[in-house]
Amino acid sequence: MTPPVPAGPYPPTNELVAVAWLSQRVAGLTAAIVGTGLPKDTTKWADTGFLQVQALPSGTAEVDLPIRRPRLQLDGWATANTDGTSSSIKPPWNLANRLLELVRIATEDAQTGYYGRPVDLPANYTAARVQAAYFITEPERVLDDPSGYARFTVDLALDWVRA
Amino acid sequence: MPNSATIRITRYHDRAILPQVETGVDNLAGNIVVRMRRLVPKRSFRLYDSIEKLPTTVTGSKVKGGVRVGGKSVRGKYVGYHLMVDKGTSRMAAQPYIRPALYQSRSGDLRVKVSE
Repeated sequence: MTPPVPAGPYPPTNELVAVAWLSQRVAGLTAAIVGTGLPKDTTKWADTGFLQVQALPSGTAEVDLPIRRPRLQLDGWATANTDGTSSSIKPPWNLANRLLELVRIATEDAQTGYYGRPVDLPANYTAARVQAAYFITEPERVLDDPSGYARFTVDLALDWVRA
Repeated sequence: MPNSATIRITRYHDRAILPQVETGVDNLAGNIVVRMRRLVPKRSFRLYDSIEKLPTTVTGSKVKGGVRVGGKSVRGKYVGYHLMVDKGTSRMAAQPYIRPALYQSRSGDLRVKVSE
């Protein structure tokens, strides 16, 4: 018989920490428009765009220090085609790119308190402290999306520890 | 129809050490191929089979190697979805295998020759 899942609190994970840091620290982003999956209901994020976070199977495993150094793919999404019927509406490329630039501004500012303070994770997860975040590529326009959405993508490196 | 995706490795060096650099570039490309094949999703193995190391060439003081994926027919079907798998789409989560293979590169890759 499979033993029950042990009661929490559970340790933080790379994607949870990234979503929490982006939605709680980056000015202009909220928890409603940052997540690991793109919501199908475009009316919920058509005005603001959506920032999708996906972990990459890479990064540096630290042997001596309890620090995580994952790399993540950030996708800024935007659409003006909320009813899903028209394919002739021009995708709002600038809105998609702007989301990534908001993140870049946060990564470049070490004085304003973006780093070091614990970020709150979902219930039953312990907090984490992001120590550094930086782009390792430049934002890239991704064409030919099957839904016709505007999309920019970038890879982000994140250094974090358990709080 | 999308073209193939190519990772190009280019180094310029003094001609006296070009043979060593050529070996290093060739080894690095071979290691990237092995990592890409380990990471790539394997449903039909067509994407897997489309990953290939390009021949390492020396022109003057330039050494050029590389890895190519997609953009060709494998067992009767055209593999044109290589970038959609790596980066995902609005309807499909990303299953990255190109960039992680690069990011996982180490200096030792220059010295270790792998069989593909």
